[in-house]
Amino acid sequence: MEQITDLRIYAHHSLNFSRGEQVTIHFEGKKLKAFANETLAAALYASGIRVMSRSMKYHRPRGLFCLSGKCASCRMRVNGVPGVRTCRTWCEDGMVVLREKTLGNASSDLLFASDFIFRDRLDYHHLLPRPALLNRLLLYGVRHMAGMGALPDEAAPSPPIRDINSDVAVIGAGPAGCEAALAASEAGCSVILVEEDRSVGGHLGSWPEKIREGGSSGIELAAEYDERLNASKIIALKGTTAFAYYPEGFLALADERGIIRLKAKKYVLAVGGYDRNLMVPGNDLPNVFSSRALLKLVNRFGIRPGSQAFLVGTSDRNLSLALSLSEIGIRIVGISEDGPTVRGSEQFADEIQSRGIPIFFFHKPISAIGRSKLKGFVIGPSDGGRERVRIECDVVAVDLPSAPAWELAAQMGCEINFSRQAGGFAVKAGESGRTTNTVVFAVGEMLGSASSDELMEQGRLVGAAAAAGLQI
Amino acid sequence: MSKTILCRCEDITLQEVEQAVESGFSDIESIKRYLGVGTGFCQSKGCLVELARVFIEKGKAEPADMRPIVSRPPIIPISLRFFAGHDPREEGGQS
Repeated sequence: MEQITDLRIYAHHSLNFSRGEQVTIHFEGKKLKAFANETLAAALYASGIRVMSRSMKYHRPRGLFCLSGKCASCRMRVNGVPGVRTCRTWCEDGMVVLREKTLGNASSDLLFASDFIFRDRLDYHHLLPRPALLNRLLLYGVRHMAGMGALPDEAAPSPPIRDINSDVAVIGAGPAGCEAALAASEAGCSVILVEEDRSVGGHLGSWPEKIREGGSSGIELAAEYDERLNASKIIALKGTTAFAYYPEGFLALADERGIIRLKAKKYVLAVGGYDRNLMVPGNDLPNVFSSRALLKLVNRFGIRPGSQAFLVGTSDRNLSLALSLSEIGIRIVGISEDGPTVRGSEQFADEIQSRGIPIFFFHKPISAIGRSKLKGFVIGPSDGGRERVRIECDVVAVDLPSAPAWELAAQMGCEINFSRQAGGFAVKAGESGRTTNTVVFAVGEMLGSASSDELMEQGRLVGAAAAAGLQI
Repeated sequence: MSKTILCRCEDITLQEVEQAVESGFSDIESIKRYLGVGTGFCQSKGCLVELARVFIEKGKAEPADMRPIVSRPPIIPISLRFFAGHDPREEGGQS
Protein backbone atom coordinates (compact mmCIF):
# COMPACT_ATOMS: atom_id res chain seq x y z
CA MET A 1 0.00 0.00 0.00
CA GLU A 2 1.00 3.57 -0.51
CA GLN A 3 2.53 5.74 2.15
CA ILE A 4 0.18 8.61 2.92
CA THR A 5 2.01 11.94 2.86
CA ASP A 6 1.24 15.60 2.21
CA LEU A 7 2.95 16.97 -0.88
CA ARG A 8 1.30 20.38 -0.84
CA ILE A 9 3.40 23.51 -0.97
CA TYR A 10 2.27 25.72 1.88
CA ALA A 11 4.83 28.51 1.48
CA HIS A 12 5.50 29.61 -2.08
CA HIS A 13 7.44 32.83 -2.54
CA SER A 14 5.27 34.21 -5.34
CA LEU A 15 2.03 32.19 -5.55
CA ASN A 16 -0.88 32.00 -3.14
CA PHE A 17 -2.99 28.90 -3.47
CA SER A 18 -6.62 29.51 -2.60
CA ARG A 19 -7.36 26.02 -1.37
CA GLY A 20 -10.51 26.95 0.50
CA GLU A 21 -11.87 25.13 3.50
CA GLN A 22 -10.13 22.00 4.75
CA VAL A 23 -12.24 18.86 4.46
CA THR A 24 -11.79 15.13 5.03
CA ILE A 25 -12.30 12.52 2.37
CA HIS A 26 -12.48 8.77 2.95
CA PHE A 27 -10.25 6.88 0.58
CA GLU A 28 -10.29 3.09 0.81
CA GLY A 29 -10.81 3.20 4.55
CA LYS A 30 -8.31 6.00 5.24
CA LYS A 31 -9.14 9.55 6.18
CA LEU A 32 -7.29 11.97 3.96
CA LYS A 33 -6.82 15.70 4.27
CA ALA A 34 -8.29 17.61 1.34
CA PHE A 35 -9.49 21.10 0.48
CA ALA A 36 -12.74 22.34 -1.01
CA ASN A 37 -10.94 23.98 -3.96
CA GLU A 38 -9.11 20.80 -4.85
CA THR A 39 -10.32 18.14 -7.20
CA LEU A 40 -10.38 14.62 -5.80
CA ALA A 41 -7.55 13.69 -8.16
CA ALA A 42 -5.41 16.56 -6.86
CA ALA A 43 -6.15 15.72 -3.22
CA LEU A 44 -5.33 12.03 -3.73
CA TYR A 45 -2.13 12.88 -5.58
CA ALA A 46 -1.16 15.32 -2.82
CA SER A 47 -1.60 12.47 -0.33
CA GLY A 48 0.87 10.31 -2.24
CA ILE A 49 -1.56 8.21 -4.30
CA ARG A 50 0.05 7.53 -7.67
CA VAL A 51 -1.90 4.60 -9.13
CA MET A 52 -5.43 5.82 -9.84
CA SER A 53 -6.67 2.81 -11.77
CA ARG A 54 -5.57 -0.40 -13.48
CA SER A 55 -5.71 -0.78 -17.22
CA MET A 56 -8.29 -3.08 -18.71
CA LYS A 57 -6.35 -5.94 -20.31
CA TYR A 58 -2.84 -5.83 -18.92
CA HIS A 59 -3.66 -4.41 -15.50
CA ARG A 60 -0.96 -1.82 -15.87
CA PRO A 61 -0.89 0.93 -13.28
CA ARG A 62 -2.42 4.18 -14.52
CA GLY A 63 -1.72 7.53 -12.98
CA LEU A 64 -2.91 11.05 -13.72
CA PHE A 65 -2.08 12.24 -17.20
CA CYS A 66 -4.22 15.16 -18.42
CA LEU A 67 -5.94 16.43 -15.25
CA SER A 68 -8.68 17.87 -17.42
CA GLY A 69 -11.22 15.08 -17.71
CA LYS A 70 -10.03 13.76 -21.06
CA CYS A 71 -7.78 10.73 -20.47
CA ALA A 72 -10.12 8.75 -18.18
CA SER A 73 -7.22 7.30 -16.16
CA CYS A 74 -8.44 8.84 -12.90
CA ARG A 75 -11.96 7.45 -12.81
CA MET A 76 -13.04 5.95 -9.46
CA ARG A 77 -16.10 5.07 -7.46
CA VAL A 78 -17.27 8.18 -5.62
CA ASN A 79 -20.09 8.02 -3.04
CA GLY A 80 -21.17 4.68 -4.51
CA VAL A 81 -21.24 5.85 -8.14
CA PRO A 82 -18.80 4.16 -10.56
CA GLY A 83 -16.76 5.71 -13.38
CA VAL A 84 -16.47 9.20 -11.88
CA ARG A 85 -13.67 11.34 -13.29
CA THR A 86 -11.91 12.40 -10.09
CA CYS A 87 -10.03 15.23 -11.85
CA ARG A 88 -13.37 16.91 -12.59
CA THR A 89 -14.93 16.27 -9.17
CA TRP A 90 -14.42 18.70 -6.31
CA CYS A 91 -13.70 17.58 -2.77
CA GLU A 92 -16.52 17.67 -0.27
CA ASP A 93 -16.35 16.74 3.36
CA GLY A 94 -17.10 13.07 3.97
CA MET A 95 -16.80 11.93 0.34
CA VAL A 96 -16.19 8.20 0.03
CA VAL A 97 -13.73 7.34 -2.72
CA LEU A 98 -12.66 3.89 -3.92
CA ARG A 99 -10.55 2.74 -6.81
CA GLU A 100 -12.37 0.36 -9.11
CA LYS A 101 -11.74 -3.17 -7.90
CA THR A 102 -9.70 -5.54 -9.93
CA LEU A 103 -8.26 -8.51 -8.05
CA GLY A 104 -6.72 -7.25 -4.87
CA ASN A 105 -6.70 -3.52 -5.31
CA ALA A 106 -5.40 -1.02 -7.83
CA SER A 107 -2.15 -0.34 -5.98
CA SER A 108 -1.23 -4.03 -5.72
CA ASP A 109 -3.21 -5.77 -8.40
CA LEU A 110 -2.90 -9.56 -8.43
CA LEU A 111 -3.48 -9.69 -12.18
CA PHE A 112 -0.44 -7.61 -13.05
CA ALA A 113 1.09 -10.80 -14.49
CA SER A 114 -1.16 -10.45 -17.54
CA ASP A 115 1.17 -7.66 -18.64
CA PHE A 116 4.03 -10.19 -18.81
CA ILE A 117 2.10 -13.25 -19.97
CA PHE A 118 0.67 -11.32 -22.90
CA ARG A 119 4.00 -9.69 -23.59
CA ASP A 120 3.19 -9.03 -27.20
CA ARG A 121 -0.57 -8.56 -27.08
CA LEU A 122 -3.78 -9.97 -25.78
CA ASP A 123 -5.61 -10.50 -29.02
CA TYR A 124 -9.07 -11.89 -28.43
CA HIS A 125 -9.66 -12.35 -32.14
CA HIS A 126 -6.98 -15.01 -32.31
CA LEU A 127 -6.67 -16.25 -28.74
CA LEU A 128 -8.75 -19.43 -28.38
CA PRO A 129 -11.27 -18.54 -31.09
CA ARG A 130 -12.58 -22.12 -30.87
CA PRO A 131 -14.40 -23.68 -29.23
CA ALA A 132 -16.79 -20.75 -29.27
CA LEU A 133 -17.97 -21.37 -25.73
CA LEU A 134 -14.45 -21.17 -24.36
CA ASN A 135 -13.92 -17.94 -26.28
CA ARG A 136 -17.12 -16.51 -24.81
CA LEU A 137 -15.94 -17.49 -21.33
CA LEU A 138 -12.56 -15.91 -21.97
CA LEU A 139 -14.13 -12.68 -23.15
CA TYR A 140 -16.38 -12.65 -20.12
CA GLY A 141 -13.35 -13.20 -17.93
CA VAL A 142 -11.37 -10.40 -19.52
CA ARG A 143 -14.27 -7.99 -19.19
CA HIS A 144 -15.09 -9.09 -15.67
CA MET A 145 -11.55 -8.67 -14.42
CA ALA A 146 -11.12 -5.32 -16.05
CA GLY A 147 -12.21 -3.30 -13.06
CA MET A 148 -14.75 -1.32 -15.04
CA GLY A 149 -16.83 -0.74 -11.95
CA ALA A 150 -20.07 -2.17 -10.62
CA LEU A 151 -23.52 -0.59 -10.70
CA PRO A 152 -24.25 2.17 -8.19
CA ASP A 153 -25.17 1.07 -4.68
CA GLU A 154 -28.66 2.46 -4.99
CA ALA A 155 -30.93 4.06 -7.55
CA ALA A 156 -30.70 7.82 -7.44
CA PRO A 157 -33.55 10.19 -8.25
CA SER A 158 -33.78 11.69 -11.71
CA PRO A 159 -33.57 15.50 -11.65
CA PRO A 160 -35.79 17.69 -13.86
CA ILE A 161 -34.34 18.96 -17.14
CA ARG A 162 -33.81 22.71 -17.27
CA ASP A 163 -34.04 24.98 -20.33
CA ILE A 164 -32.02 28.07 -21.11
CA ASN A 165 -31.82 30.36 -24.17
CA SER A 166 -29.60 33.11 -25.49
CA ASP A 167 -28.62 34.95 -28.65
CA VAL A 168 -25.08 33.61 -28.51
CA ALA A 169 -23.77 30.56 -26.67
CA VAL A 170 -20.03 30.26 -26.19
CA ILE A 171 -18.69 26.84 -25.23
CA GLY A 172 -15.37 26.94 -23.39
CA ALA A 173 -14.03 29.80 -21.26
CA GLY A 174 -10.36 29.75 -22.17
CA PRO A 175 -8.86 33.00 -23.46
CA ALA A 176 -10.56 32.66 -26.89
CA GLY A 177 -13.96 31.78 -25.40
CA CYS A 178 -13.87 34.57 -22.80
CA GLU A 179 -12.99 37.15 -25.44
CA ALA A 180 -15.68 35.86 -27.80
CA ALA A 181 -18.32 36.04 -25.04
CA LEU A 182 -17.27 39.56 -24.03
CA ALA A 183 -17.25 40.76 -27.64
CA ALA A 184 -20.72 39.33 -28.34
CA SER A 185 -22.05 40.83 -25.11
CA GLU A 186 -20.58 44.25 -25.90
CA ALA A 187 -22.34 44.06 -29.27
CA GLY A 188 -25.63 43.87 -27.40
CA CYS A 189 -26.39 40.14 -27.49
CA SER A 190 -27.50 38.00 -24.62
CA VAL A 191 -24.67 35.53 -24.02
CA ILE A 192 -24.31 32.25 -22.18
CA LEU A 193 -20.76 31.05 -21.54
CA VAL A 194 -20.31 27.37 -20.64
CA GLU A 195 -17.17 26.14 -18.85
CA GLU A 196 -16.40 22.67 -17.54
CA ASP A 197 -13.95 23.96 -14.94
CA ARG A 198 -14.94 25.92 -11.85
CA SER A 199 -12.88 28.88 -12.95
CA VAL A 200 -12.48 30.74 -16.24
CA GLY A 201 -9.35 31.55 -18.22
CA GLY A 202 -8.47 27.97 -19.08
CA HIS A 203 -4.79 27.24 -18.97
CA LEU A 204 -3.94 30.88 -18.21
CA GLY A 205 -4.93 30.03 -14.66
CA SER A 206 -1.83 27.89 -14.18
CA TRP A 207 0.57 30.19 -16.03
CA PRO A 208 2.55 32.35 -13.58
CA GLU A 209 4.70 34.05 -16.22
CA LYS A 210 3.79 37.23 -18.05
CA ILE A 211 2.18 36.42 -21.37
CA ARG A 212 3.88 39.41 -22.98
CA GLU A 213 6.61 41.75 -21.87
CA GLY A 214 5.43 44.27 -19.32
CA GLY A 215 1.93 42.74 -19.28
CA SER A 216 0.00 40.64 -16.78
CA SER A 217 0.76 37.06 -15.86
CA GLY A 218 -1.58 34.31 -17.04
CA ILE A 219 -2.92 33.88 -13.50
CA GLU A 220 -3.67 37.62 -13.26
CA LEU A 221 -5.35 37.57 -16.67
CA ALA A 222 -7.56 34.65 -15.66
CA ALA A 223 -8.65 36.61 -12.57
CA GLU A 224 -9.31 39.67 -14.75
CA TYR A 225 -11.55 37.60 -17.03
CA ASP A 226 -13.50 36.45 -14.00
CA GLU A 227 -14.02 40.07 -12.92
CA ARG A 228 -14.95 41.27 -16.41
CA LEU A 229 -17.47 38.44 -16.82
CA ASN A 230 -18.99 39.18 -13.42
CA ALA A 231 -19.32 42.85 -14.35
CA SER A 232 -20.99 41.99 -17.67
CA LYS A 233 -24.47 40.66 -18.42
CA ILE A 234 -23.01 37.33 -19.56
CA ILE A 235 -24.41 34.26 -17.83
CA ALA A 236 -21.34 32.17 -17.08
CA LEU A 237 -22.21 28.55 -16.32
CA LYS A 238 -19.13 27.20 -14.57
CA GLY A 239 -18.73 23.56 -13.64
CA THR A 240 -20.94 22.78 -16.64
CA THR A 241 -20.04 20.64 -19.64
CA ALA A 242 -21.58 20.68 -23.10
CA PHE A 243 -21.73 16.94 -23.78
CA ALA A 244 -23.87 16.63 -26.91
CA TYR A 245 -25.79 18.35 -29.65
CA TYR A 246 -29.15 16.80 -30.43
CA PRO A 247 -30.78 17.23 -33.83
CA GLU A 248 -33.94 18.55 -32.16
CA GLY A 249 -31.90 21.72 -32.01
CA PHE A 250 -30.24 22.08 -28.65
CA LEU A 251 -26.91 21.65 -26.95
CA ALA A 252 -27.10 19.36 -23.95
CA LEU A 253 -25.19 20.58 -20.92
CA ALA A 254 -24.59 18.77 -17.65
CA ASP A 255 -23.67 20.17 -14.28
CA GLU A 256 -23.72 18.34 -10.96
CA ARG A 257 -27.48 18.85 -10.70
CA GLY A 258 -28.51 17.41 -14.04
CA ILE A 259 -29.12 18.28 -17.67
CA ILE A 260 -29.68 21.72 -19.18
CA ARG A 261 -31.01 22.23 -22.73
CA LEU A 262 -29.33 25.22 -24.29
CA LYS A 263 -30.76 26.86 -27.40
CA ALA A 264 -29.02 29.81 -29.01
CA LYS A 265 -29.24 31.66 -32.30
CA LYS A 266 -25.48 31.35 -32.77
CA TYR A 267 -22.99 28.98 -31.22
CA VAL A 268 -19.31 29.73 -30.74
CA LEU A 269 -17.27 26.62 -30.03
CA ALA A 270 -14.03 27.34 -28.16
CA VAL A 271 -13.52 23.89 -26.73
CA GLY A 272 -9.73 23.64 -27.07
CA GLY A 273 -7.80 20.47 -27.52
CA TYR A 274 -6.71 17.24 -25.92
CA ASP A 275 -3.25 16.67 -24.49
CA ARG A 276 -1.27 14.14 -26.47
CA ASN A 277 1.12 11.58 -25.09
CA LEU A 278 4.38 10.28 -26.56
CA MET A 279 4.17 7.04 -28.53
CA VAL A 280 7.13 5.38 -26.79
CA PRO A 281 7.34 2.31 -24.51
CA GLY A 282 6.33 3.06 -20.93
CA ASN A 283 4.29 6.09 -22.01
CA ASP A 284 1.46 5.14 -19.64
CA LEU A 285 3.56 4.97 -16.45
CA PRO A 286 2.23 6.98 -13.53
CA ASN A 287 4.00 10.36 -13.29
CA VAL A 288 4.28 10.74 -17.06
CA PHE A 289 2.16 13.89 -17.38
CA SER A 290 1.13 16.26 -20.09
CA SER A 291 2.89 19.57 -19.48
CA ARG A 292 -0.40 21.38 -19.07
CA ALA A 293 -1.45 18.91 -16.39
CA LEU A 294 1.80 19.41 -14.52
CA LEU A 295 1.49 23.20 -14.73
CA LYS A 296 -1.96 22.87 -13.20
CA LEU A 297 -0.80 20.51 -10.47
CA VAL A 298 2.09 22.76 -9.49
CA ASN A 299 0.80 26.30 -10.04
CA ARG A 300 -2.90 25.97 -9.38
CA PHE A 301 -3.12 23.22 -6.78
CA GLY A 302 0.35 23.79 -5.30
CA ILE A 303 1.42 20.16 -5.21
CA ARG A 304 4.99 18.89 -5.50
CA PRO A 305 5.03 15.97 -7.97
CA GLY A 306 8.52 14.54 -7.35
CA SER A 307 12.13 15.47 -6.95
CA GLN A 308 13.68 15.11 -10.41
CA ALA A 309 11.88 16.02 -13.61
CA PHE A 310 12.65 15.39 -17.26
CA LEU A 311 10.82 17.50 -19.85
CA VAL A 312 10.21 16.62 -23.49
CA GLY A 313 9.95 19.65 -25.77
CA THR A 314 11.15 23.25 -25.59
CA SER A 315 8.05 25.34 -26.29
CA ASP A 316 7.29 28.26 -23.99
CA ARG A 317 4.97 25.97 -22.08
CA ASN A 318 7.72 23.55 -21.14
CA LEU A 319 10.30 26.24 -20.48
CA SER A 320 7.84 27.97 -18.16
CA LEU A 321 7.11 24.62 -16.53
CA ALA A 322 10.84 24.11 -15.97
CA LEU A 323 11.00 27.45 -14.16
CA SER A 324 7.88 26.67 -12.11
CA LEU A 325 9.28 23.29 -11.07
CA SER A 326 12.67 24.65 -10.12
CA GLU A 327 10.94 27.38 -8.06
CA ILE A 328 9.63 24.67 -5.76
CA GLY A 329 12.94 22.85 -5.51
CA ILE A 330 12.46 20.16 -8.16
CA ARG A 331 15.65 19.45 -10.06
CA ILE A 332 15.24 19.62 -13.83
CA VAL A 333 17.51 16.82 -15.00
CA GLY A 334 17.06 17.71 -18.64
CA ILE A 335 14.91 19.00 -21.46
CA SER A 336 14.99 17.25 -24.83
CA GLU A 337 14.50 18.93 -28.18
CA ASP A 338 14.28 17.14 -31.54
CA GLY A 339 15.73 20.09 -33.39
CA PRO A 340 18.77 22.36 -33.12
CA THR A 341 17.21 25.31 -31.26
CA VAL A 342 14.79 26.17 -28.49
CA ARG A 343 11.26 26.59 -29.84
CA GLY A 344 10.11 28.96 -27.10
CA SER A 345 11.01 32.58 -26.55
CA GLU A 346 14.56 33.82 -26.00
CA GLN A 347 13.73 35.29 -22.63
CA PHE A 348 12.72 31.87 -21.22
CA ALA A 349 15.65 30.17 -22.94
CA ASP A 350 18.12 32.59 -21.32
CA GLU A 351 16.58 32.00 -17.92
CA ILE A 352 16.81 28.22 -18.39
CA GLN A 353 20.44 28.55 -19.40
CA SER A 354 21.30 30.78 -16.47
CA ARG A 355 19.91 28.17 -14.09
CA GLY A 356 22.18 25.55 -15.63
CA ILE A 357 19.34 23.31 -16.85
CA PRO A 358 20.72 20.99 -19.55
CA ILE A 359 18.95 20.95 -22.92
CA PHE A 360 19.57 17.92 -25.13
CA PHE A 361 19.33 19.23 -28.69
CA PHE A 362 18.85 16.78 -31.60
CA HIS A 363 17.46 14.22 -29.14
CA LYS A 364 14.13 12.44 -29.29
CA PRO A 365 12.32 10.42 -26.64
CA ILE A 366 12.98 6.66 -26.75
CA SER A 367 11.27 5.20 -23.67
CA ALA A 368 10.15 5.70 -20.10
CA ILE A 369 11.66 3.24 -17.62
CA GLY A 370 10.02 1.59 -14.65
CA ARG A 371 7.57 -1.16 -13.76
CA SER A 372 5.01 0.26 -11.41
CA LYS A 373 6.94 3.44 -10.78
CA LEU A 374 8.71 5.82 -13.14
CA LYS A 375 12.47 5.45 -12.65
CA GLY A 376 13.93 7.25 -15.62
CA PHE A 377 13.74 8.30 -19.22
CA VAL A 378 15.79 7.37 -22.27
CA ILE A 379 16.54 9.66 -25.20
CA GLY A 380 18.48 9.10 -28.41
CA PRO A 381 19.65 11.05 -31.45
CA SER A 382 16.82 12.46 -33.59
CA ASP A 383 18.47 11.11 -36.75
CA GLY A 384 17.91 7.52 -35.58
CA GLY A 385 21.43 6.90 -34.28
CA ARG A 386 21.92 4.14 -31.74
CA GLU A 387 23.48 6.06 -28.86
CA ARG A 388 21.28 6.31 -25.80
CA VAL A 389 21.21 8.72 -22.88
CA ARG A 390 19.54 7.32 -19.79
CA ILE A 391 18.38 9.89 -17.29
CA GLU A 392 17.15 9.18 -13.80
CA CYS A 393 13.93 10.99 -12.96
CA ASP A 394 10.62 10.52 -11.17
CA VAL A 395 8.49 12.94 -13.23
CA VAL A 396 8.20 13.36 -17.00
CA ALA A 397 6.40 16.21 -18.74
CA VAL A 398 5.28 15.75 -22.34
CA ASP A 399 4.69 18.86 -24.37
CA LEU A 400 3.16 18.13 -27.76
CA PRO A 401 0.75 20.38 -29.67
CA SER A 402 -2.72 19.38 -28.51
CA ALA A 403 -5.17 17.42 -30.67
CA PRO A 404 -8.21 19.54 -31.55
CA ALA A 405 -11.55 18.75 -29.94
CA TRP A 406 -13.92 18.11 -32.83
CA GLU A 407 -16.84 16.10 -31.47
CA LEU A 408 -19.41 18.81 -30.76
CA ALA A 409 -18.75 20.43 -34.14
CA ALA A 410 -19.24 17.04 -35.82
CA GLN A 411 -22.52 16.48 -33.98
CA MET A 412 -23.65 19.93 -35.13
CA GLY A 413 -23.10 18.86 -38.71
CA CYS A 414 -19.94 20.86 -39.40
CA GLU A 415 -17.38 19.46 -41.81
CA ILE A 416 -14.41 17.81 -40.08
CA ASN A 417 -11.09 17.24 -41.83
CA PHE A 418 -7.64 16.05 -40.90
CA SER A 419 -5.45 19.12 -40.78
CA ARG A 420 -1.70 19.02 -40.27
CA GLN A 421 -1.77 22.64 -39.24
CA ALA A 422 -4.40 22.04 -36.56
CA GLY A 423 -2.60 18.88 -35.44
CA GLY A 424 -5.40 16.38 -36.00
CA PHE A 425 -9.04 16.15 -36.97
CA ALA A 426 -10.47 19.64 -36.79
CA VAL A 427 -13.57 21.52 -37.80
CA LYS A 428 -13.22 23.30 -41.12
CA ALA A 429 -13.32 27.00 -40.35
CA GLY A 430 -13.07 29.94 -42.70
CA GLU A 431 -13.04 33.66 -42.20
CA SER A 432 -14.07 34.76 -38.67
CA GLY A 433 -14.33 31.16 -37.54
CA ARG A 434 -17.30 30.33 -39.77
CA THR A 435 -17.91 26.60 -40.12
CA THR A 436 -19.98 24.84 -42.76
CA ASN A 437 -22.99 25.20 -40.44
CA THR A 438 -24.06 28.86 -40.66
CA VAL A 439 -24.99 29.14 -36.97
CA VAL A 440 -21.76 27.56 -35.67
CA PHE A 441 -18.43 29.36 -35.26
CA ALA A 442 -15.16 27.88 -34.06
CA VAL A 443 -12.21 29.58 -32.40
CA GLY A 444 -9.14 28.94 -30.28
CA GLU A 445 -7.00 25.86 -29.87
CA MET A 446 -9.57 23.61 -31.54
CA LEU A 447 -8.25 25.14 -34.77
CA GLY A 448 -4.60 24.62 -33.83
CA SER A 449 -2.06 25.78 -31.29
CA ALA A 450 -1.50 29.51 -30.98
CA SER A 451 -0.07 32.02 -28.50
CA SER A 452 -2.37 33.42 -25.81
CA ASP A 453 -2.30 36.81 -27.55
CA GLU A 454 -3.41 35.26 -30.84
CA LEU A 455 -6.16 33.28 -29.13
CA MET A 456 -7.54 36.43 -27.52
CA GLU A 457 -7.42 38.38 -30.76
CA GLN A 458 -9.22 35.58 -32.63
CA GLY A 459 -11.76 35.33 -29.83
CA ARG A 460 -12.70 39.01 -30.14
CA LEU A 461 -13.08 38.73 -33.91
CA VAL A 462 -15.20 35.59 -33.85
CA GLY A 463 -17.37 36.83 -30.97
CA ALA A 464 -18.14 39.99 -32.95
CA ALA A 465 -18.83 37.98 -36.12
CA ALA A 466 -21.26 35.70 -34.27
CA ALA A 467 -23.06 38.74 -32.85
CA ALA A 468 -23.30 40.50 -36.19
CA GLY A 469 -26.85 40.55 -37.49
CA LEU A 470 -28.33 39.60 -34.11
CA GLN A 471 -28.40 43.07 -32.53
CA ILE A 472 -31.71 44.71 -32.09
CA MET B 1 7.11 -2.26 -19.69
CA SER B 2 8.00 -2.65 -23.30
CA LYS B 3 4.49 -1.86 -24.46
CA THR B 4 3.67 1.44 -26.08
CA ILE B 5 0.07 2.17 -25.18
CA LEU B 6 -1.81 3.98 -27.94
CA CYS B 7 -5.26 3.70 -26.36
CA ARG B 8 -5.22 3.98 -22.57
CA CYS B 9 -8.86 3.04 -22.07
CA GLU B 10 -8.94 -0.21 -24.02
CA ASP B 11 -5.25 -1.06 -23.53
CA ILE B 12 -4.38 -1.17 -27.24
CA THR B 13 -0.70 -0.98 -28.15
CA LEU B 14 0.92 0.92 -30.99
CA GLN B 15 2.20 -2.42 -32.32
CA GLU B 16 -1.32 -3.85 -32.51
CA VAL B 17 -2.52 -0.86 -34.52
CA GLU B 18 0.49 -1.00 -36.82
CA GLN B 19 -0.06 -4.71 -37.46
CA ALA B 20 -3.74 -4.15 -38.16
CA VAL B 21 -2.92 -1.38 -40.63
CA GLU B 22 -0.30 -3.57 -42.30
CA SER B 23 -2.76 -6.45 -42.53
CA GLY B 24 -5.13 -4.35 -44.61
CA PHE B 25 -7.50 -2.38 -42.44
CA SER B 26 -7.73 0.76 -44.46
CA ASP B 27 -9.65 3.28 -42.39
CA ILE B 28 -10.05 4.42 -38.81
CA GLU B 29 -13.61 3.19 -38.46
CA SER B 30 -12.73 -0.42 -39.33
CA ILE B 31 -9.67 -0.40 -37.03
CA LYS B 32 -11.98 0.77 -34.29
CA ARG B 33 -14.35 -2.13 -34.90
CA TYR B 34 -11.52 -4.66 -35.06
CA LEU B 35 -9.44 -3.60 -32.06
CA GLY B 36 -11.92 -1.64 -29.97
CA VAL B 37 -9.58 1.33 -30.04
CA GLY B 38 -11.48 4.56 -29.37
CA THR B 39 -14.47 2.83 -27.80
CA GLY B 40 -13.49 3.26 -24.17
CA PHE B 41 -14.27 5.78 -21.46
CA CYS B 42 -12.58 8.67 -23.22
CA GLN B 43 -14.28 7.95 -26.58
CA SER B 44 -11.09 8.42 -28.65
CA LYS B 45 -9.92 11.74 -27.20
CA GLY B 46 -6.47 10.28 -26.56
CA CYS B 47 -5.99 7.89 -29.45
CA LEU B 48 -7.73 9.24 -32.54
CA VAL B 49 -4.93 11.50 -33.71
CA GLU B 50 -2.35 8.78 -33.01
CA LEU B 51 -4.38 6.34 -35.14
CA ALA B 52 -4.42 8.86 -37.97
CA ARG B 53 -0.67 9.28 -37.67
CA VAL B 54 -0.06 5.55 -38.06
CA PHE B 55 -1.99 5.60 -41.35
CA ILE B 56 -0.08 8.64 -42.60
CA GLU B 57 3.34 7.38 -41.52
CA LYS B 58 2.79 4.04 -43.21
CA GLY B 59 1.60 5.77 -46.34
CA LYS B 60 -1.75 3.97 -46.13
CA ALA B 61 -3.97 7.05 -46.28
CA GLU B 62 -3.93 10.59 -47.54
CA PRO B 63 -4.71 13.08 -44.76
CA ALA B 64 -7.36 14.72 -46.94
CA ASP B 65 -9.24 11.42 -47.30
CA MET B 66 -9.29 10.49 -43.63
CA ARG B 67 -12.42 10.74 -41.56
CA PRO B 68 -12.70 10.43 -37.77
CA ILE B 69 -14.92 7.86 -36.11
CA VAL B 70 -18.57 8.87 -35.75
CA SER B 71 -19.11 11.01 -32.67
CA ARG B 72 -22.23 10.22 -30.70
CA PRO B 73 -23.60 11.72 -27.48
CA PRO B 74 -22.47 11.93 -24.78
CA ILE B 75 -18.85 13.01 -25.29
CA ILE B 76 -18.07 12.70 -21.57
CA PRO B 77 -19.45 10.16 -19.07
CA ILE B 78 -22.89 11.35 -17.89
CA SER B 79 -24.88 9.75 -15.09
CA LEU B 80 -27.73 7.71 -16.57
CA ARG B 81 -30.09 9.04 -13.93
CA PHE B 82 -29.93 12.45 -15.62
CA PHE B 83 -31.66 10.90 -18.63
CA ALA B 84 -33.88 8.39 -16.90
CA GLY B 85 -37.54 8.97 -16.10
CA HIS B 86 -38.16 11.68 -18.68
CA ASP B 87 -40.90 11.26 -21.26
CA PRO B 88 -39.31 11.99 -24.65
CA ARG B 89 -42.70 13.01 -26.10
CA GLU B 90 -43.19 15.74 -23.54
CA GLU B 91 -39.59 16.82 -23.28
CA GLY B 92 -38.28 16.37 -26.75
CA GLY B 93 -36.85 19.85 -26.91
CA GLN B 94 -38.87 20.88 -29.99
CA SER B 95 -39.20 24.58 -30.37
